[in-house]
Amino acid sequence: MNDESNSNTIRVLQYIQENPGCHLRKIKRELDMSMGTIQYHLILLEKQGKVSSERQNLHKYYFPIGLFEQNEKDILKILNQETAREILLVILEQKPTQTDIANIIKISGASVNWHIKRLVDLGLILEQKDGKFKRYTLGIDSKHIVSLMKNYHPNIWNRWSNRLAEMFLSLSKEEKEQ
Amino acid sequence: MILSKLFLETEPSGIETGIELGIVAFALVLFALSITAYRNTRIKKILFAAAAFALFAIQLFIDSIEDYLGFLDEEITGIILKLVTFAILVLFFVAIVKKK
Repeated sequence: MNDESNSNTIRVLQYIQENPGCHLRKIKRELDMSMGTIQYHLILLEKQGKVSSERQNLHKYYFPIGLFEQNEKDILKILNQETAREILLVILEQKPTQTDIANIIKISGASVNWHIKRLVDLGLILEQKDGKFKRYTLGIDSKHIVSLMKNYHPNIWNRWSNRLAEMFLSLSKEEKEQ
Repeated sequence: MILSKLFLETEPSGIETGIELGIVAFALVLFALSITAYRNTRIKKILFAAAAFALFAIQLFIDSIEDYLGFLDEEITGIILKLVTFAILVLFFVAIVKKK
């Protein structure tokens, strides 16, 4: 591999590291390279185990290896859900309790509890004890979360299916905030 | 005027078939939405709702083909359709009361 090709591979890798969850067309647009060149470097980076990809609908999304460990697919599923995105945004701005989140987003306590548990399990958020309450903070760099949310949007189908799921979650018995 | 004339000139059975097809299509869309919701969340109670939407589409399908083909006894068809309606309601009830 010559120096120019090597430096392009590094540029693509750096772009993905700074913009986890970006897709092919965006990388092409931002780095101003031809589609074929980008594809070549992406295949190379995937073979080298430096990036991983996940296809969702029409786009293939790229992630730097190591940032989310093996959770990329689950994180994409989370980002497909409006409510989880809203919860992440609230946590980004403050250190809320579950009650705070329920009041701000205006969803049931059961729903908040269910989403929080998933986000904690995936390591996207952290739980901190504050007296008898639990407060939540981001588990990964806020820059990465913002980048992921900017790059990755749920489509209309996923928004509707999310609302259907929310409807069933709100029918669940409210769980006491820990 | 033209529209209302067209509407009046259309065969009533044609309109009915169109509405029935619309209902079946809508039930299938709701079924597919429920499956997507389940795949994204893994909340089992959504599967009960998905089954209810699927049964609803099947019920309308049986009702429609029975009208055209008449392969079953009217009384038997009536009993089957009522049982399916009951099953749909039971599935929605389970979806509501079931724990996550």
